[in-house]
Amino acid sequence: MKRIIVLIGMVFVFLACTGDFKEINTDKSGVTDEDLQADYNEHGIRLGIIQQGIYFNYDYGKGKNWPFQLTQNLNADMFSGYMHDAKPLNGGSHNSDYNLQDGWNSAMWGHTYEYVFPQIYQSENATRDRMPAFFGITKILKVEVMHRVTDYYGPIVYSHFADPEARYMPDTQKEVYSAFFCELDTAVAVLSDYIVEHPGASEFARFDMLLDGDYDSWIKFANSLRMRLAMRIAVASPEKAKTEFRKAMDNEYGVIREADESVAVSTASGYTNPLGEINLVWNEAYMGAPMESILNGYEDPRREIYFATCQNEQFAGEYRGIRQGTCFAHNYYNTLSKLKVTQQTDAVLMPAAEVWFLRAEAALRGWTDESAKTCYEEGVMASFRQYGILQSDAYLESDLLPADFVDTYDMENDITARCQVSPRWLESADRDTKLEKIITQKWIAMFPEGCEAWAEQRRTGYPRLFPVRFNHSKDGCIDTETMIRRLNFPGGLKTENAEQYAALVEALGGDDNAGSRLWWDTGINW
Amino acid sequence: MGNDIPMFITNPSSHITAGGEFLASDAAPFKDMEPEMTHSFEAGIEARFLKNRIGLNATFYKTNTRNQFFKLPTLSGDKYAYRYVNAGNIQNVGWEVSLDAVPLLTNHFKWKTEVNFSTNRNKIISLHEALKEFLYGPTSFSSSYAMKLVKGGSIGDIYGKAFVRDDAGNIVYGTEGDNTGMPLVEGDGNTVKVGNANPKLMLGWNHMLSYKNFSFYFLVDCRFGGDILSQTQADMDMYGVSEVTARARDKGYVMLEGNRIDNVKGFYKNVVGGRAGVTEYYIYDATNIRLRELSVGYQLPAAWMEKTKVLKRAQLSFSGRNLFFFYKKAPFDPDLVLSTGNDNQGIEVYGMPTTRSWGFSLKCEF
Repeated sequence: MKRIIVLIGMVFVFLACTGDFKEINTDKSGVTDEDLQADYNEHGIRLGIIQQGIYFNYDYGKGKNWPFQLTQNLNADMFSGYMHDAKPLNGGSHNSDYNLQDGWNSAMWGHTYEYVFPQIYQSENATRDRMPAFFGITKILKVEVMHRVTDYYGPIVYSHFADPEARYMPDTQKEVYSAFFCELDTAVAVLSDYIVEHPGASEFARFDMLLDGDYDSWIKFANSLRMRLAMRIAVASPEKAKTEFRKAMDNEYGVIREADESVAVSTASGYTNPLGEINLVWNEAYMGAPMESILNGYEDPRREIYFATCQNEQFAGEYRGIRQGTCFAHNYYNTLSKLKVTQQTDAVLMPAAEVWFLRAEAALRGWTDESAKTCYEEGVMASFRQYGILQSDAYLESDLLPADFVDTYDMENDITARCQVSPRWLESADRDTKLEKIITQKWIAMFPEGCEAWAEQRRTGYPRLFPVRFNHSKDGCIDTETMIRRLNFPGGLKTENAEQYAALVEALGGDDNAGSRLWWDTGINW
Repeated sequence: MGNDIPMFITNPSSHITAGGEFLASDAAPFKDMEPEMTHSFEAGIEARFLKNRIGLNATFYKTNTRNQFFKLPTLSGDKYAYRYVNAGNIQNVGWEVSLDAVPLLTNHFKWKTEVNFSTNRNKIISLHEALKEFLYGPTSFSSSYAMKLVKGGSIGDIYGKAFVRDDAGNIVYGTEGDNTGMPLVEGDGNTVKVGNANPKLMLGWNHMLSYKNFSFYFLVDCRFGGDILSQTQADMDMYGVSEVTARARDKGYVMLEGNRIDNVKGFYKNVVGGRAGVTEYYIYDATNIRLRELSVGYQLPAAWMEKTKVLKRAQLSFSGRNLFFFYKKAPFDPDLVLSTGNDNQGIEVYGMPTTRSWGFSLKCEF
């Protein structure tokens, strides 16, 4: 009898144990998926992380701002000619003189694959059947996030993401771009259907950090993004490029046109602009020499909006920048022109002006019947209006040319202006000059979004940037005049996943170094 | 027996941070958890001879830790940033021996000595099939230093950059452009093994000599083997502010394994120096022998004690610690590591020097 009681007792103990297990094993301080089901939070919060993960400033538990400095600021923001650090990091020899730092160059890859793509993947699965409008937005964000990654490295893991069966094998850049256009097709289709079926709906407005919350605006963004990507492959795949560009042009929802439609990550709800922190608090972002040369030469009215004047009395009122690749090992440059970006400045991803310049180039290429001149001037005006400058007539008639770069402290760094076009459109000029004007103005208008500026600079060669004075690229893999073409894959992949690394290099079709050209980087413009 | 694992890892959830921001869970739920197992074998002997004048205490051990709990960074392309696994078979084999003796013992004089030594051989017999290597510490950091666990290697292996060498082991030099005459470097992403931080043998030997009321004690500590990276030296070389670089500047060249390099600044600044420089060049052998402790004591005569009527015993002593090295290879105290973190055992970065201390004490018993 006693034994039976013990046995019964044990049964109760076990039952009680397993019965409470789920409750005991739930972190009360955490947020579960059930907690998030109200008010579309389960979808919206993920999309919030993705939106913070483009111009990366999502705090995944290790602090903010520093990931952005590695993913973008010490790479694309410098290689685009926009900015340069005034501190002699690593003794003055680092990415600036092509002594590439693997820890910096692997950051875009690592942060995207660890913290952004997993959220995209989950969001796609969660919204596909249940919330098609959010599914469409996820697709657009996916393209926006990932084109910045492929434009850095070339081949990336894309179609086999979260696919262990396929051993996470990469796609070539050509395949990735093809996939991008398909994703945008899906996005535009589901959003268009949703708008028809649910007129006036705006569930996403509460989570929208990039636009005004209207689904129409997201379709416009998708169309504009399609134009950007189509133009990128203008020479690599001309027929596809033209077809995709026309598709964007002809879509009934149109593209971004007005300055106030620009796509920017809003700082209104918690996101802070990492460039502002690097600029104001760390004092590690200053005007680049090409910016000085072009803005000073043009007497460009955006100069005082983008940059502060020098902080020392000797150069009071002047705008002075830092040339890349001079290996300086002093702190004298820290009184030169800093940026005016603050932590509260919205992080612009696609200004309306960019879309006008894409249309100007499409017209120049004969893809559309528009006037290249009109689109070009609309682009300049849209950029001016974005910054509250209402007078653009004089600028559009200006024949001013960029100024020679005169270094503040070391005359060995002086160099004559490379860019030799003025703001005025010349109908009689050859197509190369016209393209140079379009891209140079697009470069000014894109500031400070270095990823897109650097990609377009590599595609077209414009604006003509200053070469590095010292070139410490590994084994001379980067040619000084041809300049850096990409970032190498993270060095750690070689040992962590040798099979994937070998496949990436094969998909690249060249040596895995920063001198190899990407698929869309053909070296020619026509 | 096994180690504790964190709570809720089979059911991870996201969190709202103190700043009100959403911190998404980045790890896969741990569905197939297994207990961590340590199998250990130990055999020892304790013996005393010649009326306790000689004693021996020796232990041999072999432990295998299986199914150790790891939080692993995933492969690029995985839908989670981290996965938890139970994996591996990490083996430790070693000896711990202590030997004590009283070689001299007379009415007034006593010499007692004791020597301890220990060795440990660590081997990573297996990790996890999906895990080729396990990296301690953060990635995305521009430092030529990483501590990794790799199958077939051992705990404490230091990875970084090294010179490119031909089949005969000679350094290969560049022949083009700015790199002409400069050694070629490989290992971006810290892929080359350049050393191991753990010592091969640790030995401590103390002596206690006493004559009447006087006593004299000293301890010699020896560490044999093990490597350490000095980023202090690497950094100072890069800025050209170390003694080595001053000499090289004066001479006008640097010698690297018998090869003369005339571009001194280029060599230190762009090739070997700095925290992102050539790890191999700044790896030092941590072998050292030091006088760890020395003390002289005097016990006040018993006759004086009686007079005080309160004190039973009083001893004056004078002692010093970390007095000097008999021998060391590194230009700094190689026992000084960056921190106690697992990943920081083989690196020194602007450490505070070890302090030498002197002390005087009076010990009274009532």
